Amino acid sequence: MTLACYLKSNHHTKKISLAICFSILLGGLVIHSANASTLRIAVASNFTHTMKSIVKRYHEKTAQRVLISSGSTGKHFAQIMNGAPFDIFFAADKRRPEIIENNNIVQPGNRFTYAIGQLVLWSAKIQDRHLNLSIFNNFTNKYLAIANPRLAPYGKAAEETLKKINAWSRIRKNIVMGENITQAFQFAASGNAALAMLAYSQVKQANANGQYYLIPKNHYTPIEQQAVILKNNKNVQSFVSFFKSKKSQDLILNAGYRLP
Amino acid sequence: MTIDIKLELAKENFNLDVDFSVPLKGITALFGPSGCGKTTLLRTLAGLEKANGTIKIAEDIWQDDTIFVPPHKRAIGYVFQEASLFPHLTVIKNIEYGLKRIVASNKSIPLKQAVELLDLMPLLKRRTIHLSGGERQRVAIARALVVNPEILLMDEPLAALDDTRKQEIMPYLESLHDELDIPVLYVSHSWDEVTRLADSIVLMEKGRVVDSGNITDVSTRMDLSFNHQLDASAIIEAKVIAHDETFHLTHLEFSGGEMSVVQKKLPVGHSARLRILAKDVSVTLEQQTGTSILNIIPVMIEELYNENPSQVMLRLKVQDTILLSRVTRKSAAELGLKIGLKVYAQVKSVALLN
Amino acid sequence: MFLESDITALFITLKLAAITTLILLLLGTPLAWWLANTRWRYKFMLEAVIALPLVLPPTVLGFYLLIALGSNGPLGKFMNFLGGQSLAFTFTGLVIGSVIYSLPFVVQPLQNSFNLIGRRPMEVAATLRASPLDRFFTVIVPLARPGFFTAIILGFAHTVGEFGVVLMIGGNLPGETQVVSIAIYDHVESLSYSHAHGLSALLLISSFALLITVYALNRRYSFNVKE
Repeated sequence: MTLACYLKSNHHTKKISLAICFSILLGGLVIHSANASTLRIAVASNFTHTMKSIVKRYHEKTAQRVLISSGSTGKHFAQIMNGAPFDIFFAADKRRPEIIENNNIVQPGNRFTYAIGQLVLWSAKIQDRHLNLSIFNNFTNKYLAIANPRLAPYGKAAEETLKKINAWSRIRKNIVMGENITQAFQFAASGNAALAMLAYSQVKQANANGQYYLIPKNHYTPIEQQAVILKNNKNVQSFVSFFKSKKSQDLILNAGYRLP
Repeated sequence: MTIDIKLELAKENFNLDVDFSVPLKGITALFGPSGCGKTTLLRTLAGLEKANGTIKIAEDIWQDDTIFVPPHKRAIGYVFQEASLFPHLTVIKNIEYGLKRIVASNKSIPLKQAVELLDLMPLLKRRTIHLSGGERQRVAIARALVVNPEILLMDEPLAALDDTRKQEIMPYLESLHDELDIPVLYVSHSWDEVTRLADSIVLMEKGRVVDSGNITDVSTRMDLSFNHQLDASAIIEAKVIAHDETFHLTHLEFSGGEMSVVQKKLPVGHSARLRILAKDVSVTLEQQTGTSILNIIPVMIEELYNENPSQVMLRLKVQDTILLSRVTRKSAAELGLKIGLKVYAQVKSVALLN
Repeated sequence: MFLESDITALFITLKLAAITTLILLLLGTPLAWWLANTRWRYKFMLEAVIALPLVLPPTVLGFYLLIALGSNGPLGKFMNFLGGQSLAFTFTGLVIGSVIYSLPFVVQPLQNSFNLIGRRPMEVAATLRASPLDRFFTVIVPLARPGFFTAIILGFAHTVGEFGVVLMIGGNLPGETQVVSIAIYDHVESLSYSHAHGLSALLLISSFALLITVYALNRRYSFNVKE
């Protein structure tokens, strides 16, 4: 709809056409039918909260309708490969975006790292001493919850960390795996697992009680979370530039990520 | 020796409230209309339902204020109305079911005898679903007999059968009476069955015992309504004394006289029960000669009962025997029939019940 | 051809299903019998409670079980009191979850079967000197065989297919709580489609073989209940 308005603006003043389009858009917002002006974004679960605050900021600027689909990267990937109508895909890793690019679904150059995840060690209860990795020197009769390394990059990072400190095989029987970091968090928050290795952004967002320890970043391969632009149009571009603007970048930092 | 029963139980359609005794010998019929509580009474005797009260059988107490003997500890045999054989067992296994769970004593009926009594030899290996209604009921009876019961409880065993099957089983039931020592409590709403089988009878109505007594007495009491139905009859216990080979008749003796019936293959001395319909008996003031009627018995009129405007029922007595005769009121008036009058009963037809 | 972890997962699954079914038969039979015979006016409420796992999404069930087993939950506190560890992430925990999850699948067929038999066979057996327990095992159980077969089949199959509950409280420990449904799911999620296909086929074949055996036995041993 807005595209048509903008085309018309060649003949009329931009202000008037914008006003007309605005009202039509507002009217169009009431109608729930799928229309081309909706921006569809697939977002990895761990980034959803941050994305929502970015979109909220975006709505201070524009009335662009944004539909956020939150879920596991694997599912989004499968859906996109089967033609799901997403405009932008924010993954939790870089493998899936790479595959999408390699399969010629999009032009090269539409892929970028949007955040770098940080791994934390978290306990729901306050430990007697300072919480750090030395706790794994003597770790029996307790469980550590991580995301399944096969499925989640934070899980993979957890595995790398534990291998680096030579604890992995020793405490393997004490490691329980959730399907994703949300589940790993549930295991620990419910008190069934004593510790969990989670995303820093998760812990910050949950604002849960307990202690955390930011695991040194040299212990694991950087968790590069990449996005792929699937449909390159003005709305998408507009959103992406906002996403890369300082306001949004601050939000991302605040949320517990590092920036590329 | 008796079984003493005093029970109270509130049910949907009636309140069971009884207090009576039953002889521990012979067949006692529990008779009454449908829904009068006979089955409920039988079930409480078995312990399948729990009423308030006392049940005492000879010296054993099955129930009183403090104890309740559960059904599996009561020495009963129970024959249900619908046979209720175990479908997952063959005939022989059905019969053996209870047998396996009792200690056989010298009192108990051996398996062989029960099987022979009820003619079950050819059926033993069959599955119960392949049996006819009559065959099922016979198996059910055998099954109940072999568990050494002190009393056999039968709940309308013929009610679920058609007439042919009924006729088929009757002889077996009658032979039970003759050959076994076990008392039987037989629930029925069929007067026909009762007269053929019972020695004594307990009458029930709406959960209460209305009367009880000997079958020959009760079947001739004037104050009982079913004794005024079309087939009202008297029951007489008799004994075979001789056979007439020339004319193919059998002579029987009873208290107060003799009667002849169509010849039956019964040994001399055999007990038999006779049924004589009231409508088959007429009276004369003097002994008739030159009549085709064979059975003429001198009797005395004990009672006259106006059944309806045109008919009168006479209760006739000779020694211990009672006969019923239905005559028109006109004849009664013309003959001047009254209590105490000696007359002659002419019996046109006699049914031998065994 | 198959990963060792996959074969282990299959064994864990079958073991879980077998143990769960056995426990459910031991618990469910008296429960179903009582339900079939009681005249308690609030029986319908208990029946509704038993039927709840039919309506409750398994993930919901698993989630609340996780909370209950946790250090703040009633079961967790109880375990702490006994000096033990949480039951989450253990095979025992899975058994508890599966027993709740598959309860109606065992109780209902049994209850229906008992209802169909009615009271008469028990009464007959009582008049034939059989004590209550005796009558139950020699009369009711043989007559209720179809119900038992159905209960076993449904209880077993339902547990084999269990996913949501295990997802919530399993923790994916190999050799302990990694069941075949989760293993297949993980293969799919990590794009190892060939492993997913293989394991699914294995599960299908072994389950089918088991079911066929049970159905064949059912045919041979069941009797008509009504005369």
